[in-house]
Amino acid sequence: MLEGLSLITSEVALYAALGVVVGTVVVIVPGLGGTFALAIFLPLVFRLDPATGIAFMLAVTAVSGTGNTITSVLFGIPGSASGVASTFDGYPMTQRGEGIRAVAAGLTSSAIGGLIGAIVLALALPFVRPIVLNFRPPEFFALILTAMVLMSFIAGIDKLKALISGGLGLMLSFVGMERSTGTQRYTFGELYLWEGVALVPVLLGLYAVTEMISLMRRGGAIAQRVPQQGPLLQLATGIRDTFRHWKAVLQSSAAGLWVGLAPGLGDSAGQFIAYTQVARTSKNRANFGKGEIEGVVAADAVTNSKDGGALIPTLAFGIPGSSSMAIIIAGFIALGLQPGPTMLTENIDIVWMIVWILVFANLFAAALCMGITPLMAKVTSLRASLIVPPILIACMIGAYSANNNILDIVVLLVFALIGVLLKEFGYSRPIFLIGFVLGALLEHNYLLSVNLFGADFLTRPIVMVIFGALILLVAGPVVGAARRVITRRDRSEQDLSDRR
Amino acid sequence: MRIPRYVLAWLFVTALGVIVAWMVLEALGFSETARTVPLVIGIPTLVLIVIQIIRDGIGVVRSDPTVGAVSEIEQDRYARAAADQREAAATAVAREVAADRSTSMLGAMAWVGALALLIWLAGLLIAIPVFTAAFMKIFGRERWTTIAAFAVGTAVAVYAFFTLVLDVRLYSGLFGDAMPWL
Repeated sequence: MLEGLSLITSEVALYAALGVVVGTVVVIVPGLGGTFALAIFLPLVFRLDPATGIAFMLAVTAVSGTGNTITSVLFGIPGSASGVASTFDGYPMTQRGEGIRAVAAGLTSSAIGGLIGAIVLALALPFVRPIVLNFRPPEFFALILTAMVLMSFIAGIDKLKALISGGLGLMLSFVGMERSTGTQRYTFGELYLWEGVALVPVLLGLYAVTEMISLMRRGGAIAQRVPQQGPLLQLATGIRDTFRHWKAVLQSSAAGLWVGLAPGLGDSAGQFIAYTQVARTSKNRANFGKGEIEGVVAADAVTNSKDGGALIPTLAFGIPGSSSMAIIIAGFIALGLQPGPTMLTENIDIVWMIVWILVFANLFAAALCMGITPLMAKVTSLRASLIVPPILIACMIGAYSANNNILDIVVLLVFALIGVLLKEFGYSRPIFLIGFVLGALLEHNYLLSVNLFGADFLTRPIVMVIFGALILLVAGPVVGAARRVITRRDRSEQDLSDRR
Repeated sequence: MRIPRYVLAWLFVTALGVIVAWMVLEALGFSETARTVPLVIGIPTLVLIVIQIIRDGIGVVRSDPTVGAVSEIEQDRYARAAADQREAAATAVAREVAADRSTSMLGAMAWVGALALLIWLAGLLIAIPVFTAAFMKIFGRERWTTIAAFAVGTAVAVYAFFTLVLDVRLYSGLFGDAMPWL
């Protein structure tokens, strides 16, 4: 493992630091995620030597989740889909004047998640092949469906409205061309809709613009209360909160690793699955979605731990687990390295260097973001007339620059209206968005499962275990509610007969 | 006449029902592979929406104002009112200013729409300072010096970051396309 350290020269360290800064700055802008940052700087990588180029690419990737935390928590603007769950509890905390505490907890948990990812990457490389190969489309389908249903059953949300929200999100994801048959679905003959509704304008409209509309209606500032603690004390409290909720960090990091490890499941799915899992098992589950610090910890630990997991199939099998890993593979090949089994034999020193860079990038990014958080948090106490224009403009640019298409701004407006109505009438925007993000993946895995195994895919052991767990978890609250109704009815009948 | 909230909630869920029903009917005309999952998801969603329509409809018949649940915006208002009570002395002036500088939902939507329209017509680099100045003056009644600093600063920051650093082409608008020298 120490041989990887010998590759980290001053030039490698400098480019890794540059990658951290660049990655953090770019992902703070709404709509520009880590993949965008990697793509625009790829030409620069081609001019570097292999160790320096890899260090730069990995540093950019490793911190994409970290920078996202700041905007998601402080302004309710997820830089990309993988930052959405951070807004569920982080933004309400900012409105309570606890934004710095929430960011500090999010950054610490994402740094710890990243370290766990790096350690597991180091330890797991030789053993993961059989595990990865056992998880096939039926298992992914079961996992996604389970995550969707469980999310709707989190306490504190009207379950019927949550399920409707999820269903609507899923239905929206079916807009566009069905790939295996070429069937146009709900496109009205518009070429723009062939690829489906673009994700970035949807999430910016549902969250950022909706929040700005709320702010304009309410007046005042994002932070509705004067912070009870100073910035430094809030930072310290946030860091302490992360260690206080160490179980959530471990649970969420493990989910992130697994999601990263499983090719094609994607970053956003990982965050939702981890958040749901922690929300289900937490003692404070009733407060999830209303500004619960454990929710912030759960959402953020996953963002960087997944990178360690995603690098395992990328390095060991040459299979990219996400779009950013696909760009990294392109970079590796351009630098003269072939990801795959030979990477673990002929270039093992590079693999160890990657582990060290992940450790370094996560720690440096967390420190950098903590440094700028108190300054960014001051923005949340600015009055609406100063904060609304730059945020609305950033959203419009973010929506437009995703595809360089002006129609994306129209989509942003439509989803801002939908977001306002969902919020106004008590429907769940997070679950709507989760449905939208996971819909295509759910359908893809369902169709693959049916093609590969027919109806028998439902009887595969892991699928049965996942669905069994789902039935148990859903049946619990339903039976409990039914019991409460029966008990209440018995009592009222008893009261009536007593009065008679 | 102001339409009660519970009627609006019922109208909203009914509109959702109509959209999902149309999607389900439309799906029946797709190929078998393309329609399976939309039907598997769409039909249960429609059933759930019908249940919600009945739930909200009962509220409308009884004129029950609690139907439609307390919205997040109202929760925000309650939270703010409670917070205001606690911090009344310290924030009395700020509250007055905040209440004065707020708008209705339609007003807020109109501002967002106006920005989109400006971008579409004049492009980003013209829309940014114009919108910033108009919003800060009309909505926030800020001083002209603050407005000038924000309007120019935002446009310069956007140009520097997107065009100079990231080399991203910013949308130039209908006028920009017609007048390339702009």
